[in-house]
Amino acid sequence: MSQPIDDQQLIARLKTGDNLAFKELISRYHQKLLIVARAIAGDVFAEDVTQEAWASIYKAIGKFESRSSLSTWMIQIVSNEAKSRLRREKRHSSFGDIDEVRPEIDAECFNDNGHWVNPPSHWDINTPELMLQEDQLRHCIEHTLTLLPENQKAVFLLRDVEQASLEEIADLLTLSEANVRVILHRARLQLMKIINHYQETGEC
Amino acid sequence: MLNCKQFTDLASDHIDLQRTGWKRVEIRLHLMICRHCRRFSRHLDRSRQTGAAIAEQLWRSDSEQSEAIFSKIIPSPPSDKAP
Repeated sequence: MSQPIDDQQLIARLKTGDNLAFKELISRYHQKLLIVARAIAGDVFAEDVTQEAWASIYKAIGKFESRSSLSTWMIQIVSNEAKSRLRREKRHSSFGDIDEVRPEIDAECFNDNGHWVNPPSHWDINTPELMLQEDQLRHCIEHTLTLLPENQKAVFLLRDVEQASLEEIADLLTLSEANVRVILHRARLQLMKIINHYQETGEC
Repeated sequence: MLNCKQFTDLASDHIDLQRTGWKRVEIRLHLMICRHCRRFSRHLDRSRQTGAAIAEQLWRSDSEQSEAIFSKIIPSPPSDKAP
């Protein structure tokens, strides 16, 4: 079986015009670019915007200078395409800033003084490595990730998968940093809730 | 002084090192004295890491999809075969 190639090797091959490498790039990043496009331009334009972004990436990849990571560079391109599509269509962002009220854990977990009455329970499967070995839990998490609202999916992708800074995410998605923090926290809480339920019941 | 409910609202900021100054001190002090919130913070961080590892695999396209997208960017050259 062939070894997976890292981004540096992929970039080197892309710069020589290797179309197989470009297909590998599409395989790795198309879904991610689509998530970003959907979050900015909405479902109606997302496919189109991502297609245009791929055409731009294909034309420009030879000039990619590694000043940022490959993924950051591509996400910037799809973000710009999505924003310019919105301008052409004279539409506003599909999700504007949200209210900054912090997401809450179930109120019955705390007493009137804000202290735990139902504290978090112990997790038997207590490391990411062990959790990844549980097929049913993997399935629960995949399902949750798929059903996250588009803004949460995009912010979670950019922060926790691509490790972009909160400032970069705010700029890419045209949100305030405070909103990015709230949206990110909601996505993480949703994942934690599902994992917690699995740890307690063995089911999704 | 922070209570547990307030800490849970700030737990992601704590993971992302987003709080500075007095608020950061308050968070650290609260974690020193509250094992439930330490556990909450640990669970949130592990959920985030596990979710990210799964998302990395989930949000990939298979070779057939990639081929279809590629062919829209670069149309296939005409076949060499004689008609």
